[in-house]
Amino acid sequence: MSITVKGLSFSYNSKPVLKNLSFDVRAGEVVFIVGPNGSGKTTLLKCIAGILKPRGAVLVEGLNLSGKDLAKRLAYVPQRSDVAFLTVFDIILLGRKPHMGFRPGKEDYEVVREVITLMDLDELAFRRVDELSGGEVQKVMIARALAQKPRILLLDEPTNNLDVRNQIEIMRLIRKIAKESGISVVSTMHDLNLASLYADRILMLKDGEIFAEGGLEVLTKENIRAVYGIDVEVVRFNGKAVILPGE
Amino acid sequence: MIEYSRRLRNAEILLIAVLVSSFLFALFIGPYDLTPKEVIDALVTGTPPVIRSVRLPRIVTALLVGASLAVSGAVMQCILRNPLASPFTLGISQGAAFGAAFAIIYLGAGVLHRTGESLTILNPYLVPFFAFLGSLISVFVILMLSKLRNLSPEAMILAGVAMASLFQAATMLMQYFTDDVKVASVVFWTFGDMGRTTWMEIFLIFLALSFCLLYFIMRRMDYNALTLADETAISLGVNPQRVRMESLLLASFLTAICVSFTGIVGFIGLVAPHSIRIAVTGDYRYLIPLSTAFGAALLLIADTFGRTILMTVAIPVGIVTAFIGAPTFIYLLLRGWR
Repeated sequence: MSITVKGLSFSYNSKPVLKNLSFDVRAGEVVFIVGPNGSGKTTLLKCIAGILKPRGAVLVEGLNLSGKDLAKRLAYVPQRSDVAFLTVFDIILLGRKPHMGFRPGKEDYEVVREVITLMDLDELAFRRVDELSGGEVQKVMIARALAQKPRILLLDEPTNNLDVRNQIEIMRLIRKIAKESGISVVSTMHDLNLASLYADRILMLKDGEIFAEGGLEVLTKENIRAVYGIDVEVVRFNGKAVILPGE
Repeated sequence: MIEYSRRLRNAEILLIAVLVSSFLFALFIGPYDLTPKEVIDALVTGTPPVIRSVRLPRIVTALLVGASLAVSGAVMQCILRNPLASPFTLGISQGAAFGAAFAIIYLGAGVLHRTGESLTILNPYLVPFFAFLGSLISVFVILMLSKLRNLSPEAMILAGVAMASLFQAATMLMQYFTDDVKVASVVFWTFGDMGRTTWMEIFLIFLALSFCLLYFIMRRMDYNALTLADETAISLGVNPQRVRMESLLLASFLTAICVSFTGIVGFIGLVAPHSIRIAVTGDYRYLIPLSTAFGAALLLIADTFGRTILMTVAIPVGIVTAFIGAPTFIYLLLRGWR
């Protein structure tokens, strides 16, 4: 198992946000966490990423890790990234931080170049990140996470700032990487249609609990009404679910 | 890639050239008129003593203090996530001024005379010692607060501003109730002056700078990681809280030592790192050494300017740095800041 979550609970200032969650993620699996605002999606990602310390167990490849050891296996891309006076290259090089000693080595630079090409960022490589558009920054942050060469990739709303084309390109690429290198991807997602297009499995959160879990079959009219409180039509098309707002 | 590395290389060469030429200029120029050959003789033989005992220590002090203030500023701006952060924003200089004022007014430690153009301090160690204590008070208050209450970087800056006002008020209160000679002494102390240090003190500053610089360089990738969100830094295996605490402590300590021996020199901690950020790079692997070198050169140039521009009186370097620094800085902002 790539990730094992057992009895995970978390409270902000004694207000419970996550209540006794348990689930597994297999190697190479793409899992989307969906649910309304405030249902605990981001908090769950942060707990897995070791940024928040929850009660219960989070095992990464069977181990209870933290710090550098965790960073070698798990990469996390937050929803919003502060941008600095660093170049795209420098930011992506940061992904090598857990692997490098006192200074980045030859291999680290090679990985960075490889990721830059993979993410089609060659032209931006020596631009400062504060000059880029929101979508470009997001791509850089994902590239940084990939440079970490993680076994697990956690993404918080990865398509947030992207236009339709970039959304699809990024999701395709992430899915491809997951399948080719056996990386597990856990991502939060607002857009249920995108989730249905690229997910192996969907986790529906409601009020800090797993309301439903499974393949695309969990995206039903009834579940969506129960979790989001809206009426939708779910159309099955080519084995995918298309969610349309109801009348 | 090529353009970027060329820019780095150019900046390195330029800074080394500026450092060397400002050093030579400062060595050969002064109110005590000597030919370059006499200066070199004086360096080797020790006569006339003005070079070894006045000019050289002054130059070395300016270099070390400039370097220390600049690198502290660079680090503070990173860990506090604020372009305005410098050790002074945290009330360090105000704390030092308070400590010095206390020693001068109540301990009778340093009644400063004006003999000719130089100042003599009656008790040379009491004033720096109390200045040092004063400057550390605000640092420890801020560190304790952030340790106990887990303050955000923004809150730390605000706490620093509050401490600065508190110290300023306390200093003014003391000055209000004392005689004018002592008030003048306090005011004189606060003007940054590179000519007060002995070789022993210079050695202390050198030790502190070397140690802190070593630590800052060791942490350079952590600083790069901290320019992203704290969460991202954690996910890269960095402990933001720890890096922040240690760096804050060292940068403040370094500044406190400089300020207590030389008085208050503003602006270097802002101008030097931001100039490098705007003109060269924001990558802390290069930013730390480059701003250190630039700060050293800047303070030396300002001090040389201050002591040579008027033949009769040396203008305190703190005034010069602000006069040269502020317009330059505004120009850089207009040109390069987005």
